[in-house]
Amino acid sequence: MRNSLLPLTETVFYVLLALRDPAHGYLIMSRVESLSEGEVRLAAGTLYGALENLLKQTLIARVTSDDPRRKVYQLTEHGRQTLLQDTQRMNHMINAFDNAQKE
Amino acid sequence: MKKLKFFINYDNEETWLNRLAQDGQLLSRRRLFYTFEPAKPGSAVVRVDYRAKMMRADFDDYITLFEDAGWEHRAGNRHGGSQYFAKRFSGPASPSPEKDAAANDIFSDAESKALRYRRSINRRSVALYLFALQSFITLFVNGNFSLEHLTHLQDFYLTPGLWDLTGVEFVLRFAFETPLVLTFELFPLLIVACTPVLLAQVILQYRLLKKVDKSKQDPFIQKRERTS
Repeated sequence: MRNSLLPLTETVFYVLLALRDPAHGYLIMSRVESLSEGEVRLAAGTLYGALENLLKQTLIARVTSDDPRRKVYQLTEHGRQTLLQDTQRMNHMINAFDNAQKE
Repeated sequence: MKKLKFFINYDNEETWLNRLAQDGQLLSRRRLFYTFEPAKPGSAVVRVDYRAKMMRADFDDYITLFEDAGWEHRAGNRHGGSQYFAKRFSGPASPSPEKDAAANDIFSDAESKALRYRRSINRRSVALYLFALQSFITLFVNGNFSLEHLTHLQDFYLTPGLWDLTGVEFVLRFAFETPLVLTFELFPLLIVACTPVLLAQVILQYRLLKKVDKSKQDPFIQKRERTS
């Protein structure tokens, strides 16, 4: 059955990609910037809202942290699967595009 | 400097706050009035978020995330409502708020910007349902209500012979019953009167939300200039 969370938005895709290792909010922001080679810069309000939603959808989970002022998150198995499925979906589209060009 | 003003549209509120910041008045507090303190003209940009009530730890995490990203929390509290943030620019080359969207907004896509309205509508709607329910109970379940009652406020007092009493006894009984009258009779009336105002607010915000949803093609996505 097709995952109802797909397609992921650009913001969500990069947040999930950044959370393969645990990170707090600001670390996610800088990881997204470097993962996207500077193409995508998340603003604080957007990231906060995205984290709230991803927690609800159980794509990410909170993990323990030493810093009481900064919550730390990490990708769940569900999140890992969804990220993989979205990448396959995009690959499929790129292939379709390439094939159409060749005709 | 203190100013009293009401906004339904967050974008208009931000524009107004930023115009004042350009003129050297930076928001420092928001209760009923907006309070401003002098700042170097054009040295800061102000943004508004909306949040429902949060636990202390959640609020700390929220504020810290914004602080890490260079946003100073200027006004608002964890009990819910608008949250005001300012980013200050030091040095002579302070970018204009419109030029460098990446550094100057708290939202980097249209969806999250629209969700700000949705959060505040949700909260107002809950209040509206409660108000409507209260109005219904007051007007219909209590029964035989009419505006004429307002001209006979003394009828709300139920102590037999209250108005024939005098002296200390009257004062004591009157003082005893007044809070009850206010709670059960006049407060519901006030709520009934507030309902249309709240309803208008929700409708206006809902229309704004529709507009923001439609403008999704307009990318707020913050991208750096490609260096090709």
